[in-house]
Amino acid sequence: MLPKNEFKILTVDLTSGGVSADSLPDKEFGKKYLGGRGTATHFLLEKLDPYLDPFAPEAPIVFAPGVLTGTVVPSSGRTSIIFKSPATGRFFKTNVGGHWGAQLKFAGIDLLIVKGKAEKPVYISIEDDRVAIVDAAHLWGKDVRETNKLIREETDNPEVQLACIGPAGENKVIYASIQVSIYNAAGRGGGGALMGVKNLKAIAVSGTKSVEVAFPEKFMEVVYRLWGKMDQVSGVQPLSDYGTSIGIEFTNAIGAFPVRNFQESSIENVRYLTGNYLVDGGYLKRKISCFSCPVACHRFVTIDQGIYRGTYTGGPEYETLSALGGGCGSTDTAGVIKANELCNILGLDTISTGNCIQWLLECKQRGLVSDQEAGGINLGWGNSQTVIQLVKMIAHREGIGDLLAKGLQKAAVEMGKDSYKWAIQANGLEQSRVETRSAFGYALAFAVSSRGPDHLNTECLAEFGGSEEARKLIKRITGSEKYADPHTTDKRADIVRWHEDIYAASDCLGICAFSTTAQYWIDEQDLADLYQVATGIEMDAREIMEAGRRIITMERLFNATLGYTRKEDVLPYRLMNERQEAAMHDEAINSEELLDRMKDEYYRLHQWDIKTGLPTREVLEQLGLEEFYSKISDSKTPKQEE
Amino acid sequence: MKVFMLDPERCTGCHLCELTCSFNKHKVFNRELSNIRIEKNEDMALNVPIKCMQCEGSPCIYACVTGALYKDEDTGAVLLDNDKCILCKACIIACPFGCISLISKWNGLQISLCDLCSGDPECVKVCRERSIYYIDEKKINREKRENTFSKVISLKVEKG
Repeated sequence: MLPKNEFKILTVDLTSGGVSADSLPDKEFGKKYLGGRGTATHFLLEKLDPYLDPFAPEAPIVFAPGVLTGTVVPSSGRTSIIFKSPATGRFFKTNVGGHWGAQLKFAGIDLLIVKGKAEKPVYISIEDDRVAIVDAAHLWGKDVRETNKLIREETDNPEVQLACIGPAGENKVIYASIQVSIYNAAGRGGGGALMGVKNLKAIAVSGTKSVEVAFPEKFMEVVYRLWGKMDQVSGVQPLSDYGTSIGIEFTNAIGAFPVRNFQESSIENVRYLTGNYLVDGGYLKRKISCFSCPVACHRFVTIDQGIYRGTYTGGPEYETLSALGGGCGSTDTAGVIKANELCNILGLDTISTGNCIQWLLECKQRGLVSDQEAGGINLGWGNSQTVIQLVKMIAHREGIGDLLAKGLQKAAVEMGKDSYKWAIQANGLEQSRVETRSAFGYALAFAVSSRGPDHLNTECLAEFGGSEEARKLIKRITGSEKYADPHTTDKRADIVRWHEDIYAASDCLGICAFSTTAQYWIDEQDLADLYQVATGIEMDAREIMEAGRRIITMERLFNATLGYTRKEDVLPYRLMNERQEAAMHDEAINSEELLDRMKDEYYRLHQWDIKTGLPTREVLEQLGLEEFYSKISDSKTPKQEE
Repeated sequence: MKVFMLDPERCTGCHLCELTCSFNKHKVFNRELSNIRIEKNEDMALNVPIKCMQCEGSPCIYACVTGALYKDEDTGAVLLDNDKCILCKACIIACPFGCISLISKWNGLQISLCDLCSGDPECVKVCRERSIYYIDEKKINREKRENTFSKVISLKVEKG
C-alpha cells in the first residue's frame, strides 16, 4: 500500500492451478481497514461462508504481512495468517515473525490468498512475478529443517524464505503449526493442518523489488524518533539479553506460573526454566532477529553434552518453557529444548502440545489411563523423556498420540468421565500459559477473544504493573496507577479494550506486539504517524485505535453468525470452577459471576448488546460496518460443543 | 583515521543495515541495492555481514582500466567517478569479497559500492548489537583487551 496506494493481492487456486493478481487502489478502504490483518479480516468476513467446513477444499488461508513490513521501522517484520480454524471452528488470526513476510513484500505482494486443494503434494514458488505450483512428492514426510534445505537447493536461491509444514501438518494434527524461517511458528489454531489438507507443503518466496514509502524524509524522522524511545524503555535490553523467558521467575514468584496442568501455580528450582539459565547453563549460542528487529528476543540454543547432545533449535520461549516444562512438572532445561526442537521441525504448536500432554498426565494421575494403554510410557509428572516421546507420537499420530492430535476438546469427549474438567481449553483452543485466576485482565481478554483463551489478541501484561512504563500506561488508561493490580476486576474492561485495539492495529502494520503492548515504546500516535508517512493516507491516533476496534468487531461478527454469543465467552472448566491452589489473593477463581462482572463492562465499552454480547446496529453504523449487519440477523443455529 | 570493522558473532540477522543503506542511497527499501549484505544460514542461525573493507592496495582500483575508481584520502573509501566508468565489470571480478555490485537504475546499469557515507556510515547507526562498527584505528583492539583484562582479573579474584 505504498506511494500510489496500490495494494496488491495475489490469489493462488490449488484446485485449478490458477493464479490471479488484483489490487485495491481505494484510499478510503485503506483508512478503514489499514492493510495486513485488517484487510484480510474484511476479506474473510465478506467472502467466506462462515458455515463452510474449515477443511473444505475451497476454504481460504490468507497471508497478510504488515503495511510496514519490508521497511526499516524497528520490529516491523510480522505477518498475520487468517483462516477459519479447524481447531475452534471459528475465525482465527495467527501472527508470526521471521523473514518470510518481508520477502513477500519484496516480491511485490501485500496479501496472498491460497484456496483450493491440490491433487497431490505441491509447494507454491514465488520469485518476484514468477509464480508456480511445483510438485512436492519428494518433500512430503520431510521435517521443516530438511524441507527448507531441499527447497533452497532446488531453487538454487539461498535467499528463498519458506512458510511450510512438517509431518504434523501433513497428518492433520489439529494444532499443527505453519513454520516460518524454520524456527518461527504461526503456531496457534491449526493453520498447519489446513495446509496439510490442501496438500500444500510450503510457500517459498523471494523478491528483489523495492518497498517504497510516500514521504521518505518524514519517514526516517519518525523511525529515528522510535529508536530514541526504544532505548529509554527499561524492558528492552533485558528482553534482548534473556528473551521472553526472562519473565518466568517473576510469574513463578507471584504464584501465576501454571504447574502440573494448572493444579499448582509455582515450581521449585524454576531458575532452570529462565532465560538467565539459558545463558548461564551455556545453552544460548546466539540471539535471532525477526526481519527489521533490533531487539532480537528470539533465541538459538544448542545442547552440547548429555543424552540430548547435538540438539539445536530456535527458542525456547516463555510459553514453551511453561507448556513443555513447568506445566508437565519438569525443570529439565535440556529436556524442554529437545521437545521444542521436535515441535519446530515436526511442525507443532508448543502450547497446545504441552496442554494435551499435561491433560494426559493428569488422566493417569486420576486413574483414567494407564502406562500400558499409552504404549508403555511412564505417564508420571516431571519426566521430560515422556514429553519428548509424546511429542513424536502426536506428530505421527502413533498410539495414544492419535487421541492427543485431535485437540483437548475432542480428546476429552473420547476419554470421557470427568476428563473435561482438567482439559485446559475453551471453544476448542488450549489456553496459553497464563494463570488467569491470578490475572483478571487476562481472564477477561481470554474469555472474549475471537481465538479462544490465549494472549495473542490482547497482551495486557501491564495489569501486573511490572515496570514504570506499565504503571504509567495503566494510569493513562484508567486514571490511576492503583489499577495496576491483576487481582481486581475493576477497570479490567478498560485495560482489555485499549490493548485489543492497539494489538489489532499493530498486526495491521506488521509491528511486533512486544513493542506496543509489553514494552510500550510504540504508542498509538507513533502508529498513526508511521501509517501516514508510509502510505500518504492521513491518520490520527484516534483513527488508528478505531480501526483496531473495527477489526475486533468484525471478528465478533464472523463468530456471531455461527451462533457464538455472550454465553460462549468462557474459560476452561478448571479455571471457572476450581479455586487456584496456594494463590496469593482471596478470590482466586474465574467464576462465572466474576467474569460476568467484567464482561458487562467490556460489552458496554464496545457498545455491544450486554445481554447477547453481539454488536448492535448502531455501533456497526458508527464503525461503517452496516453492510455486515445481516451476519447477526441471519445467524440461526446457535452452536456449542461442550 | 577511522576504519570499518565487523564482528559476525554478534549479528542477529535483522537486515536493518541493508535497508538503511538502500534507503540512504536510493530512497527505497531494497536489499539488492544495499552495499552491505547479510549472508545467513538460517538452520544454524548464523549471520555474517559482508561489506567493502576498504583494502589497502585495493584490487578494484588496480583492475579499473579507466581510472573511474579512486581512494578518498580522508576516509579511505573507494569512490566511483561514474563519468569515467565504462561498466567493464573488472572491479566486480577483482573484489575478493563480492562487495561491488551491478544495479539497475532508471538510467541504466550502474556500479555500486560502499562509500562509507562520507565518513559517517548510516548502516552502523542501526546496528544495535554493534556487529558492524566504525572505529578509530588505534582503538580497534582496545575493547577486546579490556574484556581479556576483566576476565583475568575475575579469575585472580576467584583464586584469591
